[in-house]
Amino acid sequence: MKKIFISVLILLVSVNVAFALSINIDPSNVKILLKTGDSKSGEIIVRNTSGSPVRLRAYVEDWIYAEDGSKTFMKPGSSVFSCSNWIKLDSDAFELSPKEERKVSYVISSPPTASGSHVSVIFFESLVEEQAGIAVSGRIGTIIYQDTEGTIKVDGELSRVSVSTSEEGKPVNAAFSFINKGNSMLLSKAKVTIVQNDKDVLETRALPVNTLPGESRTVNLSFSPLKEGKYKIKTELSYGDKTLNSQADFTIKKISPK
Amino acid sequence: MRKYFIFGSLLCFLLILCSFAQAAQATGSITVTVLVRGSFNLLVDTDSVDFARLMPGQKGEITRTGGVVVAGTSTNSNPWYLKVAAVNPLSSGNDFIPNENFTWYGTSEDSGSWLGAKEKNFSETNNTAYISSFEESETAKRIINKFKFGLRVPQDTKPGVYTTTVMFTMTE
Repeated sequence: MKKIFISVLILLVSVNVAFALSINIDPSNVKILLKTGDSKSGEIIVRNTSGSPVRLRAYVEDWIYAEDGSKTFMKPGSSVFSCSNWIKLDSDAFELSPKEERKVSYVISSPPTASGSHVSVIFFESLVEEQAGIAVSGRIGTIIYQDTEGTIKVDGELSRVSVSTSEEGKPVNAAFSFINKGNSMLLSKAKVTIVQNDKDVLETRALPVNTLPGESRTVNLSFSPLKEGKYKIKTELSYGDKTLNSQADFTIKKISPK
Repeated sequence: MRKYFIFGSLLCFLLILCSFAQAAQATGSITVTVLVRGSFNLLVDTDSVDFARLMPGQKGEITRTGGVVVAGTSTNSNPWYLKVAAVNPLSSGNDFIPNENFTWYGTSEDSGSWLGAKEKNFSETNNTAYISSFEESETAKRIINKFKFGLRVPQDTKPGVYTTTVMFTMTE
């Protein structure tokens, strides 16, 4: 009986140790439409989904897109598209017991001069004790997209899709570019398909192509090798209720051994 | 008198029958509302790692044999990104080991893009480790990535206990 008790105790301890950090947030993004000079409030539910207590820090940061479509984070106010300094949080640090959740409220106030789209992120970061060696920490963020009502101009241009591979048995490399020509951020979804005989779909890729105002994004894709023949590549990019299309023919040739 | 009794009993019986029939036929509806919350979750299975003791010129790996497990889950239909960064170079008082010597790599068994197959150092500007696929951002599947860390101690490094924080960041 004593052995069983000790085994259970060890198991419980190891379960607690096994998951040092597990945080859930809802929502993971917020789209806010604001009139110039107006304010709106909202809340983010933060839940500790681990079996251990966690201390969290809440703060805002700026971000811009990196080449791979991910976000590069920066100090508040460092990006021209920043709305970080317009956001006030009701809490900057708190502790959550195992399975406990908390509503973190925010208020975003648009200045009288606001126009177009602005972005920010509200982070929840685990606070770790200072210790010898390397501390491991995690943070999870709610992305903020803010549009100023009556000032939004949506416009984009999709370049011709191109294929740079022509040899059989080699991966098919394709590329296309998208330019955001408006003053609004565009959350676009692209679908790129390789077809044969105009109807047989051989491979399809779906990916986000998100851009801030004025940004251009080149997307490089690698498809599976193809046999000798004639093919078509089609790109369909959609944002809002608009869809842009681009397509190109390409030929794969057999390489004769030297 | 008997007639009245029989008539009364019959009336009562009919009334009871009607009420049962009405109850059996009565229909109604209630509105059921449920708010299903989105899942956007980051899990990191430890809060510290170490390299034990290393000599100047020596290269080592963290002592945690299974590496650090970092998992992401989403049901929000948008691809998510996992990044890894060293907040500062490893430092001991005023001495530090440049981030070029501190590396990460690892494995992922899921269908998104894993960018840590080859060893990368923490001085590189692009620190994206994993990009989820559209499918993974809809299914609430736990995407498990395993990170390992390496360190080469430069010959001129002064003795000391060097510390830093490795930060995992998950966003859409």
